[in-house]
Order: sequence, then C-alpha cells, then structure tokens
Amino acid sequence: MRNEKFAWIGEKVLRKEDVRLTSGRGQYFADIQLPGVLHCYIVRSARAHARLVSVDTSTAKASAGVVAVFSGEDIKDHLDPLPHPIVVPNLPGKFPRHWPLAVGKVKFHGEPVAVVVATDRYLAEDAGELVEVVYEDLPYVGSPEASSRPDATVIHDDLDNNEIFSMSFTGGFTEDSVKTNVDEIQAIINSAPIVINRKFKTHRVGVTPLETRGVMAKWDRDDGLTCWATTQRPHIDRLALAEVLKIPTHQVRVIAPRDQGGGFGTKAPFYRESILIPWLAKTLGRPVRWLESREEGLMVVGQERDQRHEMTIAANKDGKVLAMRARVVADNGDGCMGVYWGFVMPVLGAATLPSGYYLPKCDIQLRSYVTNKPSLSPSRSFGSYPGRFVIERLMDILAKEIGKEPAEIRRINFVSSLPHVTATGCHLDSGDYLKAFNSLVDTVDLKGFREKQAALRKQGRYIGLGFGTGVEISGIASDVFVQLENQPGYGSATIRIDARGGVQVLEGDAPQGTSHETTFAQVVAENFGIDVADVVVQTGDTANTPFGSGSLGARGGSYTVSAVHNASRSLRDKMARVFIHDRKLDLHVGDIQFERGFVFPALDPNNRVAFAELADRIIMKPVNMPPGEEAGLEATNYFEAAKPMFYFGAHACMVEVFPKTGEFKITRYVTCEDAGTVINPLVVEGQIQGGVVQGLSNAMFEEFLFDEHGQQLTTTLESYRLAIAPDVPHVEVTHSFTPCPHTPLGSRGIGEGIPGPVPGALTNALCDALAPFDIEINELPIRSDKLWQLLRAKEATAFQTVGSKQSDLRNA
Amino acid sequence: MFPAKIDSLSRPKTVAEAAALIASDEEGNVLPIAGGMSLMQAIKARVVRPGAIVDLNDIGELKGIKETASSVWIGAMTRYVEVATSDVLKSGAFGALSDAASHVGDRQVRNRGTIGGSLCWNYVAACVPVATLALGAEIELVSKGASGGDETRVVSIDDFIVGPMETSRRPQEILRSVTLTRPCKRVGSAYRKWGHVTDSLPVVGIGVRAVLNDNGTCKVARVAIGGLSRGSQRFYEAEKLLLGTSSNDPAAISDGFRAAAKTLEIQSDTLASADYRKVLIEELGTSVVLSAMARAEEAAVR
Amino acid sequence: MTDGTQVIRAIVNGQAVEAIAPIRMLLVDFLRERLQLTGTHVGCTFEGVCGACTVRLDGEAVKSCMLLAAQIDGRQVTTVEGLARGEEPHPLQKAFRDAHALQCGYCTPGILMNMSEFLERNPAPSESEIRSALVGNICRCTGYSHIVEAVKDAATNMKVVEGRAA
Repeated sequence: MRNEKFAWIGEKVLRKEDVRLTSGRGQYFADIQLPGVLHCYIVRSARAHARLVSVDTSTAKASAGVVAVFSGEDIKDHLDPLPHPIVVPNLPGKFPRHWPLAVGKVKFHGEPVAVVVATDRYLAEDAGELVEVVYEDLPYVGSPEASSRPDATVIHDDLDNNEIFSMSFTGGFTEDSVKTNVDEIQAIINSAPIVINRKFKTHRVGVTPLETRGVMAKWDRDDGLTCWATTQRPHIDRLALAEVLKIPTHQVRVIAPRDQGGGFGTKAPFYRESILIPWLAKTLGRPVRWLESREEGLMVVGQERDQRHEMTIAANKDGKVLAMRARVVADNGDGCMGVYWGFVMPVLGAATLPSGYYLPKCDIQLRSYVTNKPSLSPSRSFGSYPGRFVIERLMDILAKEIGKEPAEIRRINFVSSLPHVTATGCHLDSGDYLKAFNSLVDTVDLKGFREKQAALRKQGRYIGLGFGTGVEISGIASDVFVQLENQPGYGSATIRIDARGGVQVLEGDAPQGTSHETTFAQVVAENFGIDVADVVVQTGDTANTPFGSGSLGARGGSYTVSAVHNASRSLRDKMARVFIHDRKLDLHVGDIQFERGFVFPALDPNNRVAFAELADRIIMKPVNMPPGEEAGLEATNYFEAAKPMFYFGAHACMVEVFPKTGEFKITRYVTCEDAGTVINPLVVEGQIQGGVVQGLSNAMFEEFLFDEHGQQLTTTLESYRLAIAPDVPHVEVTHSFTPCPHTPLGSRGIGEGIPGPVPGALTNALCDALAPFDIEINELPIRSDKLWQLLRAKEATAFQTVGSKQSDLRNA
Repeated sequence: MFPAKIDSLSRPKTVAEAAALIASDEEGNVLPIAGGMSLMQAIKARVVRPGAIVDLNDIGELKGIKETASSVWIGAMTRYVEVATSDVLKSGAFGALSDAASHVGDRQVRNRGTIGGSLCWNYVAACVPVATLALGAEIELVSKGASGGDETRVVSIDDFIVGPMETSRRPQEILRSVTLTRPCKRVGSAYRKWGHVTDSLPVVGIGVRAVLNDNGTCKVARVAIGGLSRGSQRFYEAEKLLLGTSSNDPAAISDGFRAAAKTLEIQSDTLASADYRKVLIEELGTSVVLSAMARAEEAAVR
Repeated sequence: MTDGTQVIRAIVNGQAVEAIAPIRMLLVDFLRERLQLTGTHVGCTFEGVCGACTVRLDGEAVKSCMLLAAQIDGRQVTTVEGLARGEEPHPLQKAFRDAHALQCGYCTPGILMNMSEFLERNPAPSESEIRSALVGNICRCTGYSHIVEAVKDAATNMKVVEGRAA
C-alpha cells in the first residue's frame, strides 16, 4: 500500500547496490585501472625497536622492472613530516614527529622502512627482498607498565617520556578543581555502605574489513593531484594532502571508490601510506598505486581496545551507584597516525565511560603510553568497547553484592530523565533507556529463564543470561568534533534535480557497505513522491560533493541523512512555490502534495503536473518565475543538530557452559535498539547483526599478540582468527522506538557502537551460568581454555555432569 | 605475498612421467605439487621457492579408492572430499580417515587438497596424518630408478612419519598410494579434533582404531595424536591403558587417557596451556574411543 | 615453456580465452588483471583463509588465490560474472538481494560461488549445514544471519528449477 504512494521511509526497500554487487560489478579500489600505473611494495621493519644503521637500496634499484626505491633518508628533506594542524586534535596530547618512512629508528615490527616502485607488483616484491636493512636493536617496550617506568627507554626522540596523553575527564580543567573532585569522590567512597574495587583488562583487538587498504595517485602539472583511496573521509584526506604536500586545495581531488569492502574505522586515519603514495606520484611524475596485503593490514591497522581499567564504585545499600572512580591506562602503540595518534579512541572511551547510567559523581582519568607496537587505530565501537565491558561487569558484580537481579540494578541506575549531561560532559540527548531495556527483558522472559535455570542446575547443567547495554554516539556534533579532531560534525549533501525529473544526491562522505545509496534515495524519493529508482546517490568524490567529515561515528543516519532530507525539502518547497504561482492558487507550500510522480494540491488532485515536467519548467524554461525565485533545482544543506546525540542499545546473551572443559555455547542473542525513525528496517537489522558478531569475534576469537621481542605473532588470518558462520549465533533484533527530537526525520545514526554492549552481555551470561562456582570474568578475551582456568582456580572442574556418557565437548 | 619466479610448470599424465621429471632435476629445485593447499601457502610466503613445479593433478592413476576383501587402496591424489564421502571409508574400520577428511579446512580446501599431499606435508597439527597413523597403513613411494624404470618402496605409516613437517619420503620420490588393512571384523576407528574455531587446524587431534574381543573389551588399540610440538605421533601409553576397557565403563577410558597424557611432551602456547591440552586429551580421547568401539560393534554385526 | 611464462587456454564463463602469463601468476590475479574479471576478490595474503577469491574450477568451488593461473590450462572456470544466465539472475543472486545478505559486498562473490556448488550437492540443507559450508568464507559486515536465510531461500527455488548447473 505504502509503495503505491511512494512513501519509502520505513520500508524494506531492496538495496540498489545489490544487483551490481551480486553480479561481480562492484567497483572497489583494486578494480580501478589507470594506464601506466606503477606498483609499490613497502619494505617493513623486521624489528620492534631499533636504530636504523643503514638502508641500502642499491641492489633493489637494479632489479627488474624497478623505477625507484626510497628510504626515509631519501624523502625526509623533500616532504614535511606529521604532525600538521589539519590532522591534529585539540587535545592535550603529544604528536610524535614522523615521516611516512622510518627515519633514524624503527618503532614497531612492520613500520614502513622503504618503498619500491616498479612496473608490476610481483617484480616490486622481488626488489623489496633486495633492500638491505641493518638494525641496531633497542630494548623492546611492550606494555604500558614497562613504558611508564621512570627508567624506561624513551621511544620517540622528540618526546621526554612515553606518556603521550594524560587527562582527567571529570572535575573541570584546573589542577585544583580536579583535585577537589578526586577528594570528593574519595570521601563518598569512604562513607559508602557498598564499595567494589576491581581491575579489568581488555586485549588488543579491533576490526578488520575484508578489503584491505589502497592508495593510488596521479599528478598532472596543470590539474594537480588526483588520489583514489580506500578512505572513509575523502574531504579530510584532501585537506591533509594539500597541506602536507603543499598543493593548493583546489588542485587536490580525492576519490573514494564507489564501493568499499568495509571500513569500520580503519579507513579513517591519515596514514603514512596516505601521504607516501601521492608524494611518489608527484615526485616521479607517474601514476603510482599501492594495495595493502592482509599481512600488512594485520601488522599496522585495526589494533585497538587494549585498555586497563582500575575501578571503584560506591553504592548505597539499595544498589544505587553513588560514585565511580576510574583509572584507565591504554597501550597506545607508537602513536604515529594522523588524526587519531592512538589516544583519541581511549579519550572517547573515557568520556563515555558512564554510558547510560546516572553517575553524577565520577573521577575518571586516562593515561596512554607509547609502546613498540603499531598505533591504536580506530575500530568500530571507537574507544568504548573496553569501557562498556567494564561498566556492564561492574553492574553485575554490584548486583551480586547486593543480592538483586542484574536487571534490577540496571533499572535503578539508568538515566531516567533525558536530556542528561554526564559527569564527563557528554550530552545524552533523548531516548527512553528504561523502556528499551524493559522491552528486552520481556522479550527474553527473564522470569521464565530463571525457572529453567534452576531446574537445569539440579540436573547438573549450567545455563546463564547476561545483559550488556551502551549509549553510543549518533553522529558527532561540531561541539565535540572540533575539540576531538579539529573537524566539523555537520552532515552535508547536495541534491540536484535534472530536467527529466531524475534526482542526484551528492554526498562527500564515503560509505563502505553502509547502504547510503539506498537509504538516502528512500528519503529523497519520499520527499519528491517519486520512485526510489529515479534517485541516484553518488559519494566520495571531492570534486563534486560538499565537504563532509566522513563516514564514521554513525553520522550517516543522524547527520548526513538529515542534510539529505533538508536539501530535498527545500527543493520540494521551491517546486511547490512555483507550482502555486503557475496555477495561481491561493495556497501554502504545505497544501501541495508530491505523490506517485505528480505534484498537486491535496484538495484538488486533478489539478496536477508531472514532477518531471515541473522540474523541466524550473530548470529549462524559467520564464515568469515567482518574484525573487531563482531558476534551477539544486540545493546544498549543512545540518547540525542542536545538541550532540546518542542512541541506546541493550543486548541479552544466553549461554550454556560445560564446566569440565570450560566450553560454552551461545544459545540465544537478542538486542533492543532505539534507532528512532528507521528508514530501512533491513539495513538496520543487518547493521546490528553484523555489529554483534564483530563484538563476539573480538571477545572470543581475535587477539593481536607479540612475542618478548615485539615480533607480531598474528599476521595471518590463520593466527588472527575471525568469527565464521558456524561459531556465532543468529542475532534477533528488536526495537524500541522513541523519535529523536533533534533530527528532521527523528532518526538516529546507528552502527558505530553496536559491538560495545557485546562483551558485557557475553561475560555476564557466563558468570551467571557459573554463579554456583562464584567466578568472575574481568579480562578479555574469553575462551574455553581461559574459562576452564578460572574454574580450576575455584576447583570447580572436579564437578562432573551427571548421567552422561557422552563427552561434554561441543566439538565432539 | 606473491611467489618468487617459477621457471617452469609441467603437468605429466603418468607417474612414470612425473618421476622422470623430478629425477631430471639435479639441483633439487623441482617440487611436485598435489592439491597445493599447504604448499601454495609456503610458495606464496616465499618460504619455498621452486624453480620448477611438477603438477600431479592430471595423473589419473594416482586417483581413486579401491576396495578388496580386507584392504582399501587410496591413490595419493584422491581429494579430501572423495575420502570424506566414500562409502567404503565411512564408519567401520576406516572411519577415522573419513572423519579427518570431512573436517579439514573448509569445503573449498576439501575440493582440492589430497590425502597424499597432507601426508607428505605432515603439518604438526594436521588431521589426515594422525588418522592414518591410528589406522596403520602402507605408504607406497615411487621414483625413477637408476635403470630407467620405476622403483617402488613401501613403508609403514609409522616409518613414514618422522617428525613435524618431516617424512621419510626422499626428494625424488612421489607418494603413490595409501593402503589400509582391515585386520578382522570387530574393528572400528574414529578421529576428532578440537580447535577454538570450527574446522580450524586443531589444538589437539586424536585418532583411535580399536579391535574388540567378542565380549566388547578392547583387544588391541592404535592411538595417534596430533597438535603437540612433536607433531603426529603414536600414543603408545594410551594404547596400553586401553587394553581391556569397554564402552560400559567410560570412566576407565578417561582415567587411562589422563594417566597416559603424563607421558607426553605437551607444550603451552598461544592456543592453549599444557594443562588445558591434557583436559582435551582426556575428553577427546574418551569420545573418540567410544565412537571407535561403537563402530566396531556395528561392523561386527554387518 | 621454460622462460617462466606459459600460454593458458581455458574456458572462462563459457568463453574461450587465451593469454600468456608468468607461471608464478596466481589464478586470482590472472582473472582480475588479464581477463578483467574483477568480481573475484582478494582478502588475505598467502594463507588462503578468507574465501573471497572462490571460483569454480571444472565445477568445483576452489580458492583461486591458491592456484597458479597456469594450472587452469585446458580447464573450465566459472566466476561470479558467469553465475547468471544472461539477464536471468541465479537463484542465489536473487535470494541475496531479497534477504539483504550483503552490505559491503566484498565477500559476496566468493560466497555465491561456494554456495552455488554447495546447493547443487546439498539441495535441502539445514541451517547448521549451511553454516558449516560457510567455514571457508569470512564476512565482516552481516554477521551471517541474512546470508544463511538467503542460501535457504535459494535452495527452495533451485529445487523448483530443474537441471540447472552453474
């Protein structure tokens, strides 16, 4: 029924992207061919920390097909190092100077040391093997503990020590005010009836898109630089390239390919390679291309989380939290990464540590330390995955201490009145957290579960239920973004109608599977009353799109779609005005309907004009226009929400555990998200299912490991294990709806933070199942061998299952 | 990432042709390739740099599964998927091999990888070598003899498996076939592995062939284990402790594995601690023995 | 030839092709670069784990990054570009679109090729069998649920259309 009216919002519209993507007609970075392009192979450091005694490229240069070979020494006088203001946040951190190739020393296993440019990739790799590097080893600094010691080797020559960031997120901005706050929280802790102290550890893990990175560039003396890159942020890259390479901005064009194979944050930073390849193109005067291998990707990109939390919460005897103290330490890696520098993620994590709970008294401090590892790089649930794990575990620990249901403790502590500003200054704008949570509790039938759990325990079987919740950023307001990354948060879009009634949407942010082509088309098509098929969305080319800060932080469904909506509304209104004028009607814009390809007064449908004809009249035949009205149908809108926005999600995980081996199975996983107005339910469901599985993959399978010399041990997908289909559950998605008052459609952006609630839900479920054994899981990752160790420490594995001849083994 | 330069690739149609090609290389730079599921990883990583490749995939006489009254002949180039779906090998005496082949890698790997390739590669955690060791087998190796004809050598699987990634195949030899023997009627075998991720290279894999007495107790067992640092190996202590056990008393079987595990060299690594491997050995071993025994009973009445 | 190259004559997506390629050239690179069939993707280095490169060689689903191009001489290869029959999508392609079984689409061709063979061999698979069959295909975006639904739907439709081969 609705589709006959061409009302697309809320419909399960099949994606426009999918015909081409299922036919093998995707246009990903590696599919783009440039005649005469040269191929790069990057020689990477074999050591974790060493002085570069020499880098001899002479043999490599003579190798077949090689056009050039550069080392750090070769480029450092011809290219500005970072930091450059455009990629530096307004945060009190340090920004280690670095070039795209190592100069003087190497600081992690995998750091780029030299680059070979050759006629094909195979020959480039041959030559790469001939680059001779002589290292003088330095002590490996492999943890924040080692890095923060007074006698630790300082990793960056231009810094005094290894502390790259330190800040209090509570108590204001002066030393005195912070101290006052610290003392106040201490006093509350001292007098509280319930005090819980715990330490938590979240491992080094992130998100790895299936498509690796790539950069390709060509330089023309007159047209300037054209750069194709797997980037979530073409406009930011453009500014950065212009600044670093000293090219006028209008002579730099960055193109994100039409299709990208996932980003999840890893394609947002301004990396070494982001600068190097364009510089090579400009220097050599020939087009140059670099395509990352999976090994390179695992060594350099997508390593995030890696935080330790020392926590204290104080509560009253009913379980209401009175105060929270957090000392957060992050393993920053080398920090040489434009825009993020390793610590921006932990910063957001610390700022949102209170999550959706009412915790007005907090003392939260973060320190991030440089280590001989690749820099932390953004990964979905940007900086907040560890913090969500921590606070959700604390709620369950508190519940156990008090003797109440974890669900009840959450209800007592959720923010119940919005908007609310957290102790760290985060503005939680709208929503109904209790409603969403209660809806989830109903869906999983908590009472019924407890009955089943008790009955099964008598049979020697252990099932458990755990909750995890999280508020997550829904777009990033300029208020926040300028601070965090020196960039604006507004969403932007240009709508361009053609004289035949077709509509183009031009968006500067580059999607990577996030369905903009379809959801934006739905919004526009509904506004104009036309078919979704007649709206084309083009993205990611700085030449023809308005400035956008990029596809990240769930900006799409919050900010960008709002700009799309506003721009299309303004054109619709203009068309209505012209129609009213042409037909000499005494009506307002609101009285005119756009439906099924026609424009007509709501009360006189027969007095109509075809949408296409009206467009043609305004563009091609702008005669007798209403006074003051311009010809043409193109509009650009910049949307900024009045306040920063967050969305809320609650997850429930059910497990069965086999204590003898520590094995466990997720038997059910349910989410309840409040995404506001849902534009395409299929898309939202897919985002949530994918985000949950990434969260589970992080918690159970993935882990970046280093040996005692800093050698990376997880550089293939055999050693760095990603979740595969038989090992993850089907995710049931439910919704709780409250409209967002700050966006024109009432929509919230979702996607960014979905992995956040997952580790809490999973570990709480496991602890709930094993409540008789009184174990706590306060470290990630969690796997059967680790669970078994926890149980053994409690001497629980002696407990046999009753009456079963079969092995407990899940795999059996 | 990409292979180093390869000078030639030949695709012989017969074993004799293949043997001749390998023999003609004096520098030892020629490599036969079977399915390539392991070898191509090494070639792409440039850990191995063959100058010449002899592709065995066109050699018809190396493929197939042939059953006789008391034995099964399996050509070295028989794919995992064929081994996994062969009625001849499912359950009964040879079930361990079918079990192992059914869960190697993924279905794309099983379409291409071969039993011969797996045995020659003998990766420390691989499934097929362990299952084959548990079954006992004769490995036929062929090379071009000095006189010009084929020279054949048969070794037992116990002598073929030397250590992780090491076999007694000489560089000029091609593995031609694997022959399994059924010693009697009341025999059954099984293989299972345990990994953090479904069908991944296992943390521990155990294969068992059990010959039962008429009263269902274990008369003789062959037990093999993989995933420990010494690679695929016989687990003699477990074999001893299994004698006389039966499916009526799984606890005794578990006890046997628990005790036997103490005689093994077990490593702790990023996948699991030594203590956890011991738990797996106990659980996995018991489960596999029970399956093998059930299959033996089934086979006895067929 | 012993200069490190080989002439390759094969049938790819029903068409005869002939090209010279270095012997060391991987099949996936041959398909993408020599034949411009960029629908098949690369997602890992040498480990051959991700499955994005899956094609069908003489009908069997295999990983094209684990084969040398020279090995397909005299053989038949089908890639995702050859899955549809003219303008008529394969039931899997249709099912994937209907079920929103892809987001970034990078893993999709490999899954389509693997599942097209899987369904020919297993016409009525259970959810658990489908998930097991997907061990060799990594997806990061969807969490697999919609993919499993799509494969199930396609299985139903493939039963109706008799005698289809990839």
